[in-house]
Amino acid sequence: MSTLDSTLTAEPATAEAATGSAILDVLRAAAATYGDKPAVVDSTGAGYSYREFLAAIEAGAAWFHGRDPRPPVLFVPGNGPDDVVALYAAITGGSVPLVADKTWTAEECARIAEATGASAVLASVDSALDRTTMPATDSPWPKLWWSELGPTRRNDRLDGIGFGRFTSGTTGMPRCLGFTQQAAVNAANAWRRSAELTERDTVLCLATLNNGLAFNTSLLSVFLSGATLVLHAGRPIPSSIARSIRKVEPTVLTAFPFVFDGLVRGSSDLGRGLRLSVSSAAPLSPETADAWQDLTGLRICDYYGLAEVGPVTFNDSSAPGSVGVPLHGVEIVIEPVAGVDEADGRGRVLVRTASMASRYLDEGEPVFADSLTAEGFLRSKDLGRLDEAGRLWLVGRLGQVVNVAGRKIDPTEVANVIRELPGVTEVVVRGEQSASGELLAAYVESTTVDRAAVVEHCRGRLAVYKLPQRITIAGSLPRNAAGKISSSALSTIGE
Amino acid sequence: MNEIIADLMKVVTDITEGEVQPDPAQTGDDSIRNLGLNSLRMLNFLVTVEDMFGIEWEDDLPESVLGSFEQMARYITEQRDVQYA
Repeated sequence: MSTLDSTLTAEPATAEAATGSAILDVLRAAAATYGDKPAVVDSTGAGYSYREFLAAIEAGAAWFHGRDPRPPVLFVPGNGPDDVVALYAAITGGSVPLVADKTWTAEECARIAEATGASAVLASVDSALDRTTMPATDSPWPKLWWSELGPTRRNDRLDGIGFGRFTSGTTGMPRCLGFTQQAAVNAANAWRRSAELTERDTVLCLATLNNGLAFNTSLLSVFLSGATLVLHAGRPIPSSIARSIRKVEPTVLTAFPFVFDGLVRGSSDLGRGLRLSVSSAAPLSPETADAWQDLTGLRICDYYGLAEVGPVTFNDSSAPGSVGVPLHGVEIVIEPVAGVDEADGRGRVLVRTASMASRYLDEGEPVFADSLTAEGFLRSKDLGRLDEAGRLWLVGRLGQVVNVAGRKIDPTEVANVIRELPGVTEVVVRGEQSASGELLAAYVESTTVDRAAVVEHCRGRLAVYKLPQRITIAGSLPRNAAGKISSSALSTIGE
Repeated sequence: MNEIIADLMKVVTDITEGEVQPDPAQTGDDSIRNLGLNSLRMLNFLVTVEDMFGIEWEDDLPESVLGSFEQMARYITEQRDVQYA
């Protein structure tokens, strides 16, 4: 067994395991094995070989030691090689970076800092934060600046924690999850096996580094494999991305659905070097999937993960509509739910992985342990079923059942029907209050259909009581940086 | 150039289905940024402009070009001049 192989064995994601240096062990082994091979570069070719990558991380960790911030540190990365170096420097330097979304405003970051006790911010010049409004100084990385915050309360929840990530902000205030280093290694290892990453791969990642799609599929899993990670250096405009693809000739592409939408719209030739295209975070339209196959010869695969547990399933595109089979080491159980039809085995999706979060790092409620069963499975809010082949099918979300005059309606079911209407690119269906009580409201993203078409389409496919009574149609629905619909911003449509 | 600015404003109106109607008198710095387009709409805007004017945005494009109708129109004019030179 080589030095690198010895780091690949999944270990329990315990605080004890993380008190070592699981990530640094991986990076050292990779540097020893792959040396001068490019580890992480941008699409212009600038970046680090494996040997340089390790050296830069170790130097960065020393810089963090010199600053001696009280952990945690709010880390607001951009999307370049230096951001990856800074991330691992902060982790291995013991600063416990909380990896934030670069579109968060100063106010949002201040709330997060307050909730987590972050003592400093390391932020990208590409973030929404303005360094001129803070007592900022330079950092070792030209596009990252450093600012120590005023007195914050000490966070006593960091024992064994290597870094923090945030749950989606689409349904409320983001929660900060703490992970051990070993959890990150285990997540990377699970994805590496399923995606069959090897040192021959070049992975072009178009997801932002804070997102699970990037974090779990395009960082440590790449470095475990000896592959090369390429981060797009230009603007996220399809023509620019297409130029990167033609120049870099990646074998693996990870991106959000709207990127695939743009690429199929504006590209005529992306080469034939790709072997794997991965989408996540939001449903992909069938039209885009078909057009992508015409363009590249590939079906788009889907990744399903949960912030709390890391990567969960992978659909190799063989079963459209399913989110695929569990990754190595992932256990899924379907728990019956009162009031939910169990005829086809649907119920709450329970997940246990070797890459689970340890706890919430903020002071919010509930505490993370309340989300777990006695056996350590996360009780997700997803409603799903497993088929005979072990594939997971998501059929709805718990906690969103709409009660219309005593009738319980799953809004996801209605949304799925509307999504089938040609010309519709996205749908959100939810309960909203009206003068006469709760009603079903549909927000439909389309540039071609009108209200009459939506109603006509639904009338033939849904019971009358399931027809949405409030239909808002818009050319684009508000999204966060991950491309997910921002539920809280829907009500602003049309203002 | 005024004709290009008018076309750009029409693109904004079109891609937002009339929700955003730029004021022809507002063409200076931040005139696009002030419209409050979200990232996806901005992406749609840029892709549509590429299609409409037969250009491709360069990777080192100054941020200011994307924030102002006047500067964007000037950029498009220059790109076309280069193409037809």
